[in-house]
Order: sequence, then structure tokens, then C-alpha cells
Amino acid sequence: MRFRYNRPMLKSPFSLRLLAAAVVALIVGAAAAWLTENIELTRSPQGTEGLLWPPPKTLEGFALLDQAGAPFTPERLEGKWSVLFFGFTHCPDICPNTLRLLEKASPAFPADTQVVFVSVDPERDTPETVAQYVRYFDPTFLGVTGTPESMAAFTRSLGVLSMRTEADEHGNYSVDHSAALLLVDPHRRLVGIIAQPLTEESVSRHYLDIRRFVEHQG
Amino acid sequence: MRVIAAAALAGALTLAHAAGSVRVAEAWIEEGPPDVPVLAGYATIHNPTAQTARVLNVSSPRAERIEIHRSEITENTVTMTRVDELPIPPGGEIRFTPAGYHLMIYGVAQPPAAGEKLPVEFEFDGARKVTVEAIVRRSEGSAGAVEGSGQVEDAP
Ligand SMILES: [Cu+2]
Repeated sequence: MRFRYNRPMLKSPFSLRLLAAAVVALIVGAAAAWLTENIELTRSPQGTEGLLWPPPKTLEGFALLDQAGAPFTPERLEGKWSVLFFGFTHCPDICPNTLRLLEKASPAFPADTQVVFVSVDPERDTPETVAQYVRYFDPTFLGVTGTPESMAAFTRSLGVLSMRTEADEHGNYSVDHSAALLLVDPHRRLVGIIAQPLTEESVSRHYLDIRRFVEHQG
Repeated sequence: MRVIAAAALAGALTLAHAAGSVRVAEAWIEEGPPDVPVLAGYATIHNPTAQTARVLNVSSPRAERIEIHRSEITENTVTMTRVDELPIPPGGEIRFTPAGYHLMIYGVAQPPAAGEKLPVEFEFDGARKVTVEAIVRRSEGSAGAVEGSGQVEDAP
């Protein structure tokens, strides 16, 4: 069920709009469940799945590192679209799967799109580690890590969960983390969440749908 | 005469045992980036016996250590936990899959490329051991390989 926001039927009765909003809220609700409460989530009445509108957040004030060890600061998100994926290199199961999926989906993305792998395990993931990891999947992907403090501040500001499990007798631990993709527009605004289950088709479709809506708003 | 009868009986028992013993099939390993600290492996374990079979240990001469893990995606959150003892119900099977049960393979000295095979040994309760050749490949959403199967050897 889809509601185009510019369709005449939505210009009429209030109750219809309300119904549309309720249906969309149900869909978006699941996607947004992991967002912390400090992000006020306005459910879009536009029927675009995963769209956050008005954008709940402009990304700013972070100082991370890219895979070359260069600063990854807010300017790096300007003037292009970014698809953010959270993971870590000690994750051989779900993370490679998602990266392969993005590798296959990304040819359908417009050229001004950067796919960014954000490490939720900055203690073990140095820029070099991240560089090797990301390069293997797609050399055009960007890899980002940083100090544990700066990364914690960044993920917290996005409402992205990232929680270290207790280390075992070998010193190994895992990091429970958010499995959704975040979509950031060229003005550094968090405009979308692409929720699990991710497929090559769903990722491209949701990204393009959300982008079309945001661009139409100007 | 008595010796021959005993030997025949022993042979028949061995056959019966082999037909209904624990099996590991479709073992494969996800190819990883160079120098990646850990690889994921998958397999299907069949237990046609009338008792629960427990995987107590998994190992490979090529790896420092292998653990069984389980990944889960719930409410868009990924979690991964270690499973110390995996019971396979009588007459049942457990299928390892991405985003589910997997082998967590630590410290493989020379990271294997797609097409290579790694011996992986599964140790069950009752001192039963099954060794399989796990094939390394890149998952592309394709169905599981049919290679890499093995059957329980008699306990030493
Ligand atoms: Cu694992």
C-alpha cells in the first residue's frame, strides 16, 4: 500500500490523511524502534518507507578517521549522499554479508553516493584494519573509525546502538550493533533508515524513494 | 567357527552403527579479506540416532581455535553469542547459516582463498569424531555446496 504525498486524495479529508499516517507509522515504527528516545521521530505521512521527515538530526561536531588515517569530519558528508553501515572486522558472519549486498546494490546508486562502513569496534579496528577490510569488498567504499570516545559520541548522536559484550577468557568480545542502514543527505541531515531484512532490491528502492522525496522538497 | 560368527556379528553391528550415525554435511567457509582475524564457517549436522548428540568441540589443524556462535537480528540489532555446547535432537538436524549458527574460526595462518579446502573436525559426546573438508567460497546468496560431507568415525 503506497500513498503518494502529492496525490489529490491526500489534499482532501483530514481523516484520510490520518489513516495514511497511521499505516505508515506502523511500517516506520519497526524500522525506527532502535532509535533512542532523544531523537524525536516524526512519522512521515508521505508513505515513503524509512523516510525521516522532517529530518530529526543534522550530523555535526564529530571528528573521526577514514581508512587512510585522514580526518573524517562533517564536511566529508556535504554535497553528496551517504549510506552508512555499522559493523566491525571481527564480525565474519553478518558484516561481510551486508557488505557484499551493498557491493551488489551500489551500481544502482546515483554517482554522488558514498557507501560508508563505520566501525563500532574502534579499539580493535585501526584505519589500516578498516582499509584492508573495506577494500576487499569494494575499493570505492569508505571506511571510518576513530578513538573509542569519538566513535561512541558519533553513534550516540545518531541513536545507533553499539554495545560491547563481556570479553571471554581469550580476550575476545563481540559488539552488538544496529543492523539498519542510515541515509544522510548532502546537507548532512539524517533523512532515512533502511531496515532489516536488507536485500539488494530493497536497499536500492528505499534509498531512491527517500532521495526522490527529499530532493522534491528542495 | 565361533570366531567367524563373532566377526560377522561385529561386522553387522558396525554397519548398523554407520548407517545411523551423526553426519556433518555441506561444510563451507566464507572467504574473508586478507589478514582478517576471524572467518565464518557453516555446515549441516544430522543426527539420525535415537539420542541427543552434542557437539563438544570443533577444531582444525589450520586454525588456532574454532567456536560455535549464533548471530541474531532482532529489532534491527545484530547480536552474536558463543554457544558452548550444541545439542542436536534425536532424528534432527541443525543447519548453520549466515545470520544464524556459524563456526567462528580464529587465527588461520594463511587466509584461504575461494576453492581451497580446510579440514574441520567435529567432536561429539561419546568420543565420536567427524572430519570434513570445508570448502572456501564467497557467498553470493547461492544454495549450500554439496561438498564437504563426513560421517562419524568409530570411537578410538
Ligand atoms: Cu561469531
